[in-house]
Amino acid sequence: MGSDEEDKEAQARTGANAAVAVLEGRLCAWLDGSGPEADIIITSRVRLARNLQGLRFPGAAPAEERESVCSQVAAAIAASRALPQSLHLRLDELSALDRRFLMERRLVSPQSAERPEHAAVFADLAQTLAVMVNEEDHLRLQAIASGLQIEEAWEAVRTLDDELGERLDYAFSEQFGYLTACPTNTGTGMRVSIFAHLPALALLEEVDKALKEFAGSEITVRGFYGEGSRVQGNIFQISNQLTLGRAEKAIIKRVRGIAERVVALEREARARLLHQRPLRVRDLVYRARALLQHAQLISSLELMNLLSAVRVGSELGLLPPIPRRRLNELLVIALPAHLQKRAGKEMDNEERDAYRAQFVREYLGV
Amino acid sequence: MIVCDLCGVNPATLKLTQVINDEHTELHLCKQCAEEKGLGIPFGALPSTFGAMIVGFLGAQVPTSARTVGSLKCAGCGITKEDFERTGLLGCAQCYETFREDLKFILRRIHGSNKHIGMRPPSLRGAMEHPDIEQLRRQLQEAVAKEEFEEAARLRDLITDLETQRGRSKHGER
Ligand SMILES: [Zn+2]
Ligand SMILES: [Zn+2]
Repeated sequence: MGSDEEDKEAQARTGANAAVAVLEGRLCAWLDGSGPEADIIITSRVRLARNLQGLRFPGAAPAEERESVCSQVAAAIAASRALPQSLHLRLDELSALDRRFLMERRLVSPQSAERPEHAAVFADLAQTLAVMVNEEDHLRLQAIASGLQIEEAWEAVRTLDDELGERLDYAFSEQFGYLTACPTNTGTGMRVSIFAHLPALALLEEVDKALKEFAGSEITVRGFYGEGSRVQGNIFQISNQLTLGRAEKAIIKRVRGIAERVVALEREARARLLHQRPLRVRDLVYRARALLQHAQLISSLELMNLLSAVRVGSELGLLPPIPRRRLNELLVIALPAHLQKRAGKEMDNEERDAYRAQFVREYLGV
Repeated sequence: MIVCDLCGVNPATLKLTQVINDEHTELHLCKQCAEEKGLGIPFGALPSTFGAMIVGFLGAQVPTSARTVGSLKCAGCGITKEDFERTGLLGCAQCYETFREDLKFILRRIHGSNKHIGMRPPSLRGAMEHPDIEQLRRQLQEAVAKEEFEEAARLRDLITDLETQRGRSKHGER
């Protein structure tokens, strides 16, 4: 990244709409499927919550204070080297579809998408580093890396935090640390997350057992699975539960330890699955491919399901290899706002599901 | 049929499970509510059930002795203790002083600690950057005496970490 041409492109266009147009042509670098353990850990993310001294938190602040936060952060970013070639997007200048598009890129939270007044986001062109302004807290700094790269993400976000911290007066107390709107973030304000794809553990119904092993590890596991069908994405978010009374390094160490253990458990489960239930796995994988080839309507949720199965089929050598990057990319570009921007028009549910089915088929070449 | 926990109308098609230590929290959602909450998105932020948990931590669970008396209002942002109990959110940095006694208790309930030991903003770094190991040792003894073993283990790890770091920096490494 960082060629002169990119520089010019970013500077020549101004305004939030132009920034969205720049992003449209550039996928997030964290989808590229690189990094250690990328067959299981899709991404690693570190997020820091920060607030400015003397101004009310966004949820309680009047317009002029929210506006003041926007301009202070813009000035700090402009004066620092933290985010070279950054894109600046004012959420209130964007359509609901564009805000949803940014949400699908994980550059804004669902909350900000719903409350765009005096909210903004700054991001580098690769979208690995971003600062959300006036979400639940004045600033949310985040770094995302592909694969198991927690330390790399931490280093990136820490550097950004240090640079901004030189120019902004962060709300901080000796007793409580960084002061945040929600007490669950107080202290370090730090949330370390890994997104792990655990199809074998899910298929063997061993996710709960694995999670029990981590009881007392101060982590939160969130997964979503539908009633009736077991495989639905099988992507689990594992993050630190506690932010106060623990040093940043200790939090990172803990999440890394869990991540490594999860990887080992999933690898072992995949081997066991192939050995013990080969028919079941093949059936699942080939069914998923058949659906991707022939289904005429595919919802976001169903697609996650199918992608999980063909991903595992590809990783286990049951299917001709599909580039991991393509599979990762679909987790974002087959989402509703991305599809509608690609199609150049708004679509209802059924139109989207039809367009998605066709698009995915072409994209994967199945 | 299981009905959606959010709208209470549509049939739930999604089960969201959150595991904290041994405690499972389950949310049943319909497709529309799930999409609205960004759950149709593989990486979307899931709704924070923490908000609700904090409300639980406030109210009944804070012993009367530790609660701030009367109806307190923050001079910085105007939110009352009732507002905080309802939303689980504070209004400004000054709230941490206004509701200090409640927060000390609440933060301890949430995090098992109410004392920050992590990084500091650049402007506040310097002498205080390196915590006093002797003081941490005293805290460790206190924790052991009070049978707060989790806290003790945490302090022990911290002291070990600090000693290793200092040992290394003495030898001129990083
Ligand atoms: Zn609903
Ligand atoms: Zn306040």
